[in-house]
Amino acid sequence: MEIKGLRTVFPTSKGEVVAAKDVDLTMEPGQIIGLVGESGCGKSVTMLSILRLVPHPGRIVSGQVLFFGEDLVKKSPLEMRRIRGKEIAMIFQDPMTTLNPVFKVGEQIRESLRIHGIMSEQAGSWPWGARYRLQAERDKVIQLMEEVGIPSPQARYHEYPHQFSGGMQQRALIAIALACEPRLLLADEPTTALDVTIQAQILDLLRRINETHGTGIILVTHDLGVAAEFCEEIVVMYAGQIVERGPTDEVIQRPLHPYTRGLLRSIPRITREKRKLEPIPGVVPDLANLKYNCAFYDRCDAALPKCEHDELELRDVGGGRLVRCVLY
Amino acid sequence: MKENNAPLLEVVDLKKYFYIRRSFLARTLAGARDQVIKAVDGVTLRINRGETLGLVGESGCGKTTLGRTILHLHRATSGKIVFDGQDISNPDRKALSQYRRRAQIVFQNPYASLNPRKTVRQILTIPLRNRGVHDRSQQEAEIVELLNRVGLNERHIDSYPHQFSGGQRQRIGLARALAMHPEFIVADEPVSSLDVSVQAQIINLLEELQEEFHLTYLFIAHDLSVIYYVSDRVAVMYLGHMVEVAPTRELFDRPLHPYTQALLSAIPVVDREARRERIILEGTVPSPIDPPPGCRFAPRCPQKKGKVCEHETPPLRDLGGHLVACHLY
Repeated sequence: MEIKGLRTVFPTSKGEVVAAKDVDLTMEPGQIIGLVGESGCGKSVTMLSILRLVPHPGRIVSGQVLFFGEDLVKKSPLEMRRIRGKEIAMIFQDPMTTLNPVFKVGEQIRESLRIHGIMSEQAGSWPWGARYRLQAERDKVIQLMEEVGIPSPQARYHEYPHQFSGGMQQRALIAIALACEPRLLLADEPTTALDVTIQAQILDLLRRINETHGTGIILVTHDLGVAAEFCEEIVVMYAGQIVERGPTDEVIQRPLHPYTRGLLRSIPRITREKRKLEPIPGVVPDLANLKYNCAFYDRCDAALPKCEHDELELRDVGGGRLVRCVLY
Repeated sequence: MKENNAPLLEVVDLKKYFYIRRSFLARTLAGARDQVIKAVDGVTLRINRGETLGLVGESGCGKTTLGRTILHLHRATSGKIVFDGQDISNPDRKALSQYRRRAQIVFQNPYASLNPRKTVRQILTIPLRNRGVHDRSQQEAEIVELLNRVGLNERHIDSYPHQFSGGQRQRIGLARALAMHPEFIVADEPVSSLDVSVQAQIINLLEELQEEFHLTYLFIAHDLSVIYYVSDRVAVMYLGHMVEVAPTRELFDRPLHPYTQALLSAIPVVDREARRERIILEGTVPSPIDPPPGCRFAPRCPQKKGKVCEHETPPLRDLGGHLVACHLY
């Protein structure tokens, strides 16, 4: 997948808010990328833009999202519906609000198989195939539930979301996402609502899926620890822009952008010697009213006079690392 | 940290049960029975003067209930709470109000814990009045001082909570607790709803205030990195029971209880060298309604010894300053 110059805006009474500003992102099939940043930095909007699910009145004003060579921004709504869930699936943060409380969990997993007609080829055409298709779909759902680690799937198929714990609901969502064997999985803070031991289970499951099916994963998270352990590459976003990208260990050990450095210094770490936390001064700027060319200018500890006006681009500094800062 | 021999707070075999009463109809027709949620089930704890005791555990393990029961925000089902040598398990009105003057709380959700219809001035005046500061100009002076101390500006004095960001609201919550000049503060997940850069600001502020006012904290959190950073000692809870209490470094270097080991191994950490071999626990935390007999952790424990774990509740044993409740030791 390749995103080029993606720009998503939300018109407000204070002017246009550019929630995703010239986002460029390339991704190989089967890769795991971590998208990190604080709330309001545009992580989720970028994910929603890929699927063209940006809520009204937001819209994509320019840019391309090339998925295996096809531009998703130019697709018709009908074509998009065929892609969502089948080629690209998404897992949301809060499983309880994503699952429909009035349908059985098993049926909700079956829905995506049914809509995308996954089982129709094996079962033959209507009317003779219909019954076989239903059975084939049910078998597939139970197999999926087993795969994501839901115990006794036969019985669980007929239960409702409220009968599942948070971790189990998240597993059910992953089963829905996996049903059509997508090539890309967008996971928007999939473990934020869960406890650490459950989080470890879910991340373990996602990694297994990545290994067995070769599904590419973009993991959106605010937890640098999760990103550091789970992802091959880290993309850091700030105020709607990608400010840094690189292989995980490189970014963690030698962060280039002052914002990434600040983030790493402000999190408590479990290390031998206790180091005082150094919070980033100031607050996240108002996106409707960005004063400087570099959104981080007024909080930056390495700011130079030229930062205020100089044109900024995501520059390749070698070793697979990209950074948006005049220092490099 | 200075250590005074007499603990500031001592909790002995504290229990807090919640009862779910079923209606007559549900009982007779549907056969439903009254249920007991054993949120805190026999916790013994000591907090020394001037220290920060970190309390960790997963959601539903009873850590918040414990914090609130200690402050008498919930009435304890049984057990003893001794604060500064005084038994305050069953206080009368006067003793309770005096206790609350010395022990305060900072809540988790800065959006829900401030009254949206009151200005900062009104919010902070109430504790001041309770402390006996009735003079208007003195109130104003103290409020301004408090606001400055927690990093807010005096022009914020007549603003409403919705005009503040999450981090600023947490600062107001802190100012409100400090207005009573307390000695002991229960900080119930004070940073979990904040972004990392703001989180660091609040943690640093809490530490500065501790030094300045000689505060003692019971710091409740589920984020183990935060706990590691702020605490002198750490207590780990599982399903209403205390499973391990130890000095922070000791607990992170040599966790004894299998649950603590699994919990520590599950934290995603940034530094490669700090990573541990991951122990992935099966299943989820059982419900505190009718919890399993014996050791609460037995059904998920990877190091279960056998029958004894399922039948006998292990007592919290002291292994030289490192307390652990497990049959293995």
